[in-house]
Amino acid sequence: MAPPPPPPIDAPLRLPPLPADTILEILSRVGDATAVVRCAATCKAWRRLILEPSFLSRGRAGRSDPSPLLGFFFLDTSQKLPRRRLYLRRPTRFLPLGPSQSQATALPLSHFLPKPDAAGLSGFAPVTSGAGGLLALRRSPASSCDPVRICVCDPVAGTSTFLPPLPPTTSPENIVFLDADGSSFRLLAAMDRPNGIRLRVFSSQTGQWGTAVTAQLPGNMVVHLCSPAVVHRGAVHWICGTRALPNAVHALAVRPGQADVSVCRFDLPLRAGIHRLNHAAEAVRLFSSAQGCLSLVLLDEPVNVISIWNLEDDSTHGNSWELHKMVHLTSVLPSTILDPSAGWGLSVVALCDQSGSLFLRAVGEGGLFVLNLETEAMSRVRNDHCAKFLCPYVANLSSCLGAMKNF
Amino acid sequence: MATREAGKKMIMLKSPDGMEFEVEEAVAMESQTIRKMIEDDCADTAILIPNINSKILSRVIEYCNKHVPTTGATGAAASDTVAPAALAEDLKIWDAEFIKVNRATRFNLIQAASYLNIKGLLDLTSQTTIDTISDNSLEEIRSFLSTKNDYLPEEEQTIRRENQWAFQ
Repeated sequence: MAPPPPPPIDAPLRLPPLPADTILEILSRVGDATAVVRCAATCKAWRRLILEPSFLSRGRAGRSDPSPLLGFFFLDTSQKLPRRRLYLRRPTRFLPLGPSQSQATALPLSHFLPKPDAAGLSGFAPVTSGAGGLLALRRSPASSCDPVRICVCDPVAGTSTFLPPLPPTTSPENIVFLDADGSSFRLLAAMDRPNGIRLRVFSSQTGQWGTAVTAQLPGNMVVHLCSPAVVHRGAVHWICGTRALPNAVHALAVRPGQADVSVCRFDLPLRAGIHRLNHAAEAVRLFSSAQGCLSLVLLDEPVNVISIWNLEDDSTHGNSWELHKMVHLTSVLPSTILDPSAGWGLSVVALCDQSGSLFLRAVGEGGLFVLNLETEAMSRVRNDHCAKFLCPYVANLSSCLGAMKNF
Repeated sequence: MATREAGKKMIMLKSPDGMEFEVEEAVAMESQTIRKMIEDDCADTAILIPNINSKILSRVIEYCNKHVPTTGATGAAASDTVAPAALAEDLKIWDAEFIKVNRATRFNLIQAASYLNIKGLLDLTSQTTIDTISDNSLEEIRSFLSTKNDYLPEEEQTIRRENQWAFQ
């Protein structure tokens, strides 16, 4: 569906002002961090009302809607290809995804963080985002003997925590938030080892990395640890295959405990199995859905359909995948993108659990699209594909408000 | 949504400027406020809707009329996967047309949706309002909200610096 045309800005007529109460209710319902911050900047009375603790609690009772996506971090790779290594040294940029995407300009990461922190973060790039408005950044090592430096920050609240460095020998293949709320978080680092997956968990409560535990894997299993890892109910999930069939046929669930780790494996829907593991992430993604179950998105390019599957937990028959819904891309994407003669193709670049949005890249001249899995609304966020996508970001309104100064 | 079959029972709604609107009970019950009145048996004769003039009330009823059958259909038969999807698409287009109103009417609709507690209408009017806020400059938002800037220049500087990302 075409986006609704911009509402007209009426001439400043003599209108009775909308009661602050009503607007506040609207703001708290929608939870759009940008709109809230902007309203708080219009005048002191609004700011006071927004910064009152009651603002966040109103209208949100019993709400479990996905949080709105604030935008995503990326590296601009628009320069000529032969010098492509150079872009790794470029600063990370952020593209806000408000309703006014047409006017949005990309911001540098330093626009988010207070000055001393921003300076200390040069060379760091976002690797993953978590609930509670958190973002994990990792420094790209200058040499192989550099320790692994990770920083967890809340960009909208302007806070950051530097984690104790990990020795260079334990450079993780993947970093993911195990859990996070407003006050604490746990970050998991996963490392490839010949006998399995080595896991270390950082807890913000202790300020330390826990001892390493190793998850033993069945001998015939193939898993690409750097492929997207999804946390659902305390277990980290990867898509995996077998040596005989290195395709997206299974999912691996790894649950780190205090001193040990439990591992289980289950099948994916059959249709996922046509994708080779090394490219599977472009078409098959696991995610933790708003309905509270583990879900799977499958991009069926030949027929231009995205199917969403939910893992139903059945104690008698074990787990089984149920087809939850299908999104027909022909009705939501411009027809030129789907024209096979144009030689364009679609691939998944990211999936944001918290906002329920799927990022799709159209190879060719297509650009970058965001599909809201709940409403099935699709919007184009970039016309080109020069951006190296890093990670989507969902702001936490309460930490954002907590950091705002009152006047 | 409707658990008991309402049939074709009619409800009379009255605006403060004296107009009367006869609507089906099911349509009126799109409003949680009216639903509660009906369920509490406070709706024997006509329900007076305070603060909502006849022009706005007729638009609200128009909205509820359009939205009442779909809510019932999706609740009753979720197996018909094709028709509801097409219906939802139609509704979205209808909604987009419905909300193309001037600022005064939109404000009145928001207040009406808020008072009558009609979730769909509140969602629609809220989202359009938020889009307006995110789309325009601070000055335009102030004029939209009818607020007056009382920040000192240096205070406004501080605010802009504090959340630079929101003011691009």
